Amino acid sequence: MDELAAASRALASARAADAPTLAPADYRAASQELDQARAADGHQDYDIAAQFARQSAADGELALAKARLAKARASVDQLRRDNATLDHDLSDHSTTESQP
Amino acid sequence: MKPQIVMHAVLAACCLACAGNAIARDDDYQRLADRFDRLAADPSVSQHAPAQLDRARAALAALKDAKRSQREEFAYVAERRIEIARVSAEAESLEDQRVSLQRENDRLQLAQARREAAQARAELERQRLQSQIRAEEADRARADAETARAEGEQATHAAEAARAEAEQAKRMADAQAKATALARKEAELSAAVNGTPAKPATPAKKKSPPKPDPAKN
Repeated sequence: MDELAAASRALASARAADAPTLAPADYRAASQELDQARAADGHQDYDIAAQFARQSAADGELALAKARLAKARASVDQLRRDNATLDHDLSDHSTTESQP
Repeated sequence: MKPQIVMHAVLAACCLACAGNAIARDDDYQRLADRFDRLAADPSVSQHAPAQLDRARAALAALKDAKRSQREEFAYVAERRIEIARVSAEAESLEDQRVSLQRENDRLQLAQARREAAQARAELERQRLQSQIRAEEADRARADAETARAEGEQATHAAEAARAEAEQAKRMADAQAKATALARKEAELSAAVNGTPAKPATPAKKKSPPKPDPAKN
């Protein structure tokens, strides 16, 4: 089933992006919905399986997006701190050099 | 009559319930559509997450056209697609900031590396000058020591010559004293033999001590 495959790929991408840590609620929802989709597929309830798979894919992609956002935010914050420190060091040095 | 009334009441209740559900569904759609419109109006979102916005728009259209049995699921998916577009746009915007900050970081690190290299060069030059000064001081100390050693050697030689001269003078004085004593004794003995008062014998003429050899100095 295409929906199941898409949901499975979305969950794998989210997992690879550390979504279990960075977006745990969305990742957990996606994982549970994928389990329900597989169970329904096993019972040949294909409509129900497709419905859960679509929901899982949406939650998986949301988990992935949130994980990327968390990483980008952390990266930006770290760079801001690093740059402030570097800038401060360079300014201090310039001040020291300009003193007699 | 009574069963008809009951039937009508049941039908009316069903109609009301259906109308209520339809209103609730319309409310869901309208809420999501409003949220989507606000998001789509944000230039940053349309710039940074156009594909996600398209998928959210498609999910919203699917919700609008969904059968009653699918509406809850489609609303669930549409809500997440809209959130995905919002979150993705924010992440992309932050990524732009990250790239800009990284460029700034590279520039600052380059400036710091240049500063450290300049400091290292200055320190090297300072060490070189100190080393040169120490070498010159060592050369001067060696020259001073050599001069002092030569002067010491010269003083030792002079002292040795003076000591030798003094010893020679002492030996001369001793010999002179001995000669004088012997002459006196001779005179006394002669007087005793001849019965005349003793006349002191003339001591040997004192010889001047030899001059020190100037070459020894």
